[in-house]
Order: sequence, then C-alpha cells, then structure tokens
Amino acid sequence: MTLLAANNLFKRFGSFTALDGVDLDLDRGERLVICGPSGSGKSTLIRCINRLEEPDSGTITIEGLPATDLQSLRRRVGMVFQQFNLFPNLTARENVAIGPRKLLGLSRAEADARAEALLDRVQLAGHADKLPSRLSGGQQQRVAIARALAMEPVLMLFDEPTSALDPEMIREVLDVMVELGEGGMSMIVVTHEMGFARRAADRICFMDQGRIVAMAPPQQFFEAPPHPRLVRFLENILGH
Amino acid sequence: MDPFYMAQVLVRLLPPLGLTMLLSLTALVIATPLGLVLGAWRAELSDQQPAARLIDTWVLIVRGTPILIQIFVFYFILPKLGLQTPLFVMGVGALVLNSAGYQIEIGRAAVQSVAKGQWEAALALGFDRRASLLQFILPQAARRMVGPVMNELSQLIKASSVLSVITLFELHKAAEAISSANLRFSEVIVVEGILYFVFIFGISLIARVFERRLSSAGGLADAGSFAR
Repeated sequence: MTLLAANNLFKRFGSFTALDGVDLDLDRGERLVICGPSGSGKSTLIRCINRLEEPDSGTITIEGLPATDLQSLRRRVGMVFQQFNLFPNLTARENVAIGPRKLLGLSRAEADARAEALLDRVQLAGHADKLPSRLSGGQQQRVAIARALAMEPVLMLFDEPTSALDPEMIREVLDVMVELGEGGMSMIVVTHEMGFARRAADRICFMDQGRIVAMAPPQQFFEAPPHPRLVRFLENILGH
Repeated sequence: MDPFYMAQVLVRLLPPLGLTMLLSLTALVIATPLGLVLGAWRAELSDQQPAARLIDTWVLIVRGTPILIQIFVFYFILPKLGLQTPLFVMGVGALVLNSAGYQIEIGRAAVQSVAKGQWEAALALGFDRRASLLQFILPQAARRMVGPVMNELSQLIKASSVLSVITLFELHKAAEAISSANLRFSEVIVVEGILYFVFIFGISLIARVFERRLSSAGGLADAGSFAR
C-alpha cells in the first residue's frame, strides 16, 4: 500500500538544478536508501518531502493526501539531520518530550514517560538528564532519532545521519536504525553506508544530477548495477 | 582637591543623580524590550518588507547622527510640529529612540546567530515559525544578548548626560551649574565621575546575576550540536 507518492519534482537553486523531474513511491513499512554523489539532489529530495524545501513544481502526497497544512504534515514525518540539531539548552529527555507536550497535548508526565521509553529504546536509559554537550555524537544522534519518533510519525527521513560521526559511533546509530526498520517503520535514508543499505534496505535508489538513475533491491543493486554511472560510483566508494 | 568641599558637592549632586537614574532607567525599561523585540522580529522579515525598511531606516538614522542632534530634534523640531511634551518625556523619548536603535541590531544579530539547524529541527517537529522562534530560538539568542545589551545600557546612562543641553537638571547639568557658580572644576568633575561610575557598576552587577541565571537555565551548551 502506497504511503508516499512524489511526482515530477523540480527544484532549482539559482542556476543549479537540484531536482530534475523526480518520481518516487514508497510503500508502508518500506525502507528505502538513497545514495549518490554530492550535489546529486538526495538531501533536497527528502527535504522536499517534509517541505523544509519547497519544490518548484511537482506533487507529493502522503497517505493519499496532499500536504495542505505544513505543521500537520511535519508532525507525521520525522526527520533526523546530519548535524543532529538537538536543542542545546534542553536535556535529552526534554529534547524528546517537548514535541509531544507542546504539539500533541500530552501532559508533562505523559511526555516525559514517552521520552524515557524512547531513550530506553535507543539504548540511552540513564542519560535522560544530560545536556547534549555532555553526550557523544553517536548518543546525540540517537536522542535525535528518539525525538523524531516521539511524534509517532508514519514516515522517518534520515539525512546522512552518520556523516558527522566518528567511525566507532556509526555502528551504534545504524543498529538503532536497522531495528527501527525491522519494527515496521517506513524509512527513507540518505546515506553512503552501503553496509547498512545491504543489511536493511528493501530498495536502493541512486541519484545523479537531480535524477533517479537507478533503483533496485540490494542484491541486484550491488551485483548487477543497472546503470554505468552507478557502476563507477560503487567502484569509487567500495574500492577504498 | 578639598575633600570637605567634595563631600558638600556630593550631597548636592544626589538629587540630580536621582533624576539621571530616573531618566535612564525609564528609558532602559522601554528601550530594551522595544529594541530587542523589534530586532528579533526584523530577523524574521525579508529586506523588502515595509516594516523591515522602516526598522532599518530607524537604525541608520540613530547610528548616523550624534545623540546631541537627536536630542535637539526632540527639543526644537517636534514642538514646532505641534508635539508639546514635558521635558522629562522629551528626554526619555530621545534616549529611547537612540538606545532602541542600537538594541534592534543586538536583537537581530543574536537571533540570526542561532544555527539554521535549530530552526529546521523545530520546524521538522511541526512547530510553526512563531512557536519555533519563541520556544527554541529566542532562549538561545537571549544569552548572547546579555553582554552587548549591558554595553548598550552603560552607553545609555552616559548618553543621558547630554540631556543637560535641553535644561534637564540631571547629574551633568547640576555639576556644571555648581562648578561654574564656584569656579572650582576639579572636585566637581571627580565627584560627578564617581557617581556615574557607581551607578553603572551597580547596573552591571545586576546584569551579571541576570546573565548567570540565563546560562544556568540552559543555552550554555551550543557547542554540543556541532560536536563530531
């Protein structure tokens, strides 16, 4: 069953074409990985889905409905950023609880309980009272995942969630994401972590110059890359 | 220097010091919220919007002209345009116009200095722009305002001495009157300087307590969101 349908998206920044006619569908519960060289439009694509960028043209529907109200759209779509973007003046618990409390009308006690449960789920029980500056990058990113989950989204977007992390912290974040996907969450993940893609994706999508050039399940994607540009890309990132 | 004479001067300068405090504290209480709120609002406006142009023009005029001229505008020109107000109101008005002009820039810069990712995080959760600003951006910006605002407040207090030119009998005017009546300048200047210093020092102590409270309430840890 289709959760997300994006049709014919175009987006330009000045003279640079970030999205050059992109179509994308996602089924409920599906896990899609998007990869591609920098500047290929991957981040722009997922930022258009929750309207942090406004596409110049094209349509996006989620659960069959076009986004009329920005805020209610964003409440249903969780987003995790490369730079975590935790609120530095709030503890981990407050970072997670503030959305449900202010936007979903939960009481402080209910929101805190939800936050604690989610922090527990991302292996951060016991860190709830810490400010982000007291947490490692990997821990911060897991708080950010919990923060997005606290809104009970129907879709989670990850914008290069491990690109700002030290190597030994990448694993702990990816493990949380794998588990999330196995739990049935619909996810779109922009990443260069091909091990994660192989392990957790239902489909992998390759973008270049604002277009989706190839889209295939992991096995076919890696073993019989359906496009010469993709072959070169895989050689570059897997070859070192 | 005659300490006995200085003590006499000190006693005679206390009532005018009261007026200086009243003038500058009244101006401060109006100019600071006004300037900072307008500045935060300005940060949210695009350059072309009429309100933005109005605010920018205000800042430009205040920055581009001496406060002496600004005070004379209130004293000589506004009454000719039919705006008759008591001297005290005129003086406070000139100080507010001047100080708020600088504080607009403080508020705008502080809001704009908060990382773009903070906006995106708030918006992505589903907060609208207004709620994002109030709930997440302003608390972080507020801490960055304290230092510059304190600077501006000390400027404001000292600028109130220029109000002597419109015959407001504040600290500087009184000091001038005493020294020219007795033709003894050194003692009066020293006492006047000490009084300004003590007043401003007192205000800065209060500001420091305020700053400490702001940072312990959070906002300390901006670096965290960029940590790798």
